[in-house]
Formats: sequence, structure tokens, C-alpha cells
Amino acid sequence: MHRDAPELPEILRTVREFVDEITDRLGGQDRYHALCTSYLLAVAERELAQGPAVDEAERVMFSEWAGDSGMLAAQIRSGALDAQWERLFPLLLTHVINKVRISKPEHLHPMHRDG
Amino acid sequence: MNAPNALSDPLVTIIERLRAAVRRRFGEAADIDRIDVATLGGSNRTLLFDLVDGAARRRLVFRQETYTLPNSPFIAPHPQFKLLQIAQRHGVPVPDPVFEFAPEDELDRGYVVGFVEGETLPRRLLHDARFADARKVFSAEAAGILARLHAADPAEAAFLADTPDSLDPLAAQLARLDYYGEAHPALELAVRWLEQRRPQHARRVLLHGDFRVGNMIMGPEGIRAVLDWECSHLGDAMEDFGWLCLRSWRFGNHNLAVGGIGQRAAFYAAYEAAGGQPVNPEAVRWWEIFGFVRWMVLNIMQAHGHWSGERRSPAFAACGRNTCLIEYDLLMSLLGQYD
Repeated sequence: MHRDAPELPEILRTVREFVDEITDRLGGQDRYHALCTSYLLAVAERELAQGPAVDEAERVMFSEWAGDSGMLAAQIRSGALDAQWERLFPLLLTHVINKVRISKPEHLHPMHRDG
Repeated sequence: MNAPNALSDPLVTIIERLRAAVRRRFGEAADIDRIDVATLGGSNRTLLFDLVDGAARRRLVFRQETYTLPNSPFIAPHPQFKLLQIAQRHGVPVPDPVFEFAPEDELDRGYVVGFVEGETLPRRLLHDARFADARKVFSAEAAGILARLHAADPAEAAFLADTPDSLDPLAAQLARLDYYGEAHPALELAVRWLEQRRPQHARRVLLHGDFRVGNMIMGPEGIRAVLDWECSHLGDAMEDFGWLCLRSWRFGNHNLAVGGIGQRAAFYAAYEAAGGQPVNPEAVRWWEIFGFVRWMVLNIMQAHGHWSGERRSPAFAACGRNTCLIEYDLLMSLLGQYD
């Protein structure tokens, strides 16, 4: 059964808009923390929108590699994947680009901004 | 102080103890006045005050450690104070180290230094017209400061010899990363790159360890004081270069590699002209890649402090989600897309 409106993205947006509205009336550390809070809410909104599709794409992309990111990280550190560096690099760059698209898409170089 | 609830206010107790500490050193006629709270922060407390001694008045800074992070990458106040003294002896501009707290002061760990007027905010230092002259001399001044610091006999700072960052800075980062328990496969690729290319035969010198715009007080004429010595350690002089030139510390002025203010060539030449060892650009690049790893680990640390409940703050939470921005710059630098 559908829950009542507003839905989750709309709730996050509502809170973020309110925080943005009061930020200019705050000073010092409160103002800084309000800016950080607005940023975190925007991250949550983007993650809600993009997260499921990104998770599925990354599951397929990393299917031939170690089970989870902890295991993959450990294998890389051990040197066991040194010979695979050239193959792994583009996959992990895509993974990091996916994270940046959620955190702060405008941080990306123009070559990575769309798609 | 006209505090309504004097007995229960910890700040009032601290101020009374500071007054007593000042009188122990400057005589019973000395007093403190014009007290301002700069930070009551999660890991240190900073107060500004006037030392009043007869007709003389001097603005000073009280700095007290209030919390020590587990597995902290930061050295304690006592070695920080000693480093200020060493730096000052070698002509590095620092806030004047006035006195350290002793057990009878009952002020825990900390010290008092001279107040330095000026600007620390990178945005203003990089863009405001009133710092135009300071920007013109920045590369030469920063190079001169590092040359003087790196020329110090590292034996003077022998107390730093066994810290994790002096023993093996890369291993120190990895130990902290493992403690925070967050996996970063892309960061690990960079670690392999670093492990396979470690700079050889570097002379061991005294490093500032966090030398960048934001950690120095500047006036319209140039650098007035170098702050934040808590990451100081012994190591390769090029490590201080890599950190100053890290893309993250260019604050958007990406084509000005030296702190977002200067060009590499002029900075390197100024360092050598000031008596510094020949600059090795390959080693600087290694230390920049290392710098991204270290800056990632510091952000992961802030996020860990937040989600573990040690010191919660929206700012520390945001650090966690900023980590991937550094990771992206790291990969783009490894690719040669960013310099």
C-alpha cells in the first residue's frame, strides 16, 4: 500500500529548503553547520534517486572480482592484483565517479559530467 | 568576570587558573583582561586574552587540548610547544611561544603563545585585492621558510624520531585507515603505485607536516606566522612540497600549483636559492599522490569521529562524503589528467 504524501524525496527537499532559508540568519559555527546540513541533505536526495541503479551497475561491473569492497581492497593491498592494475583502474575510476555524482557532481571534470 | 553561575561554569574555573598561571610567571601584579573565546571545540579550546603587566599590555592566545582522538595523527601540546621554539630559533615566523602549562597550573595540556593579527581564510588570501602584494611574494616567502626549517638539525627534534609518521608515513596512514575500518579499493590502487615507487635516499629533515594556505597567518605584506605544528615529523623535504602543492590546497585555483597562489618553477627555484636541497619534481609528485591518500584518511577520520559518536557534528559527517572528491582527484592525478 502506498504511504501518504509527501514521499521521502519530497521530505528531504522540504527539510533542505528550510535549512537553506534560515542559514543566512545564522552566524559563526551555526551557519557553517547549517551549510553542511544542507549539503548532506542534497547528498541524501541524490543517493535516493541514483543509488539503486548505481548499486546494480556496480554489482555487474565487479562480479568477476572479490566479493565486497573490503575484500577487493585487501586483495589490492596484498599485491595479488598488481598484474591486473590496468584492468582494475577504469572500473574503480567509474566507481569513484559514481560516488562523486552523489556527493558533489560539479566536482567532476567535464569529461565525466554526463551519463 | 560577571558570570551569573560562576561556580559551575568550567570556563570561569579555567580563566581563574589561567590568571593564577600568569601570576606565577609574571608576578602578582600581572592580570588578564579582554578575554574572548575563539573555539570551545571538540579537540581543543582557544581563548584570546590580554596580559596586563603594569602599563604594558600584550595580546596572547591560550590553547588547551580538551580531547585526544584514539589513534590520533596529531602530536601532543608539549612537543608542539618545543617545535615553536625550534622554528623560532631558525627564523621561521611563528606565534611567540610564551609559556607551557605546568602541573601546578591545573590546566591539563596546553600553552600560551603571542597573538598574531592577520588573515588565514584561503578564499580571501587567494582573491582579495588587499592581499595582492602578499601573493606576489608568497612563493619566495614559503620557499624561504621551508628552506630554513629543513636546514635545522633534525637532532633538535629527536623527540619526533619514533612517531609513526617519522618511521614510515605511508604505513602510518594505512594503520589509521584500518583502524577506522572503511574500505577504499581505489585508494589501495594508489597505495600500490606508491609502494612500487618510494623515493630513495632522501635526507631526513624536520618537516612542518601541514604546510599550506589556511595554516598560516598572512597580512597584506606577506606571511606573518606559520601555525598548526601538530603534524610535524621527520622525513623527506619533498613531503612538505607535495602537501603545499596538493590540488586540494589550491582552493579552486588549479593552475597555480603552489597553494593556489604561485607557480612550481618559481617556488622550486626560490627554495634552492634560499639554500634548500635541489628539488626533485618526481619526488614531489610521489608526495602529492601520498598527500591525496593522507587527506582522504584525515577525512575518513573526521567521519569516523562523527558516526562512532566520539564527537558528532554535521561538518565531520560532510567530511565523510567529501572523501570521494579527493579520491577522484587522486585517480585523475595518477592518470596524468591533473598535475
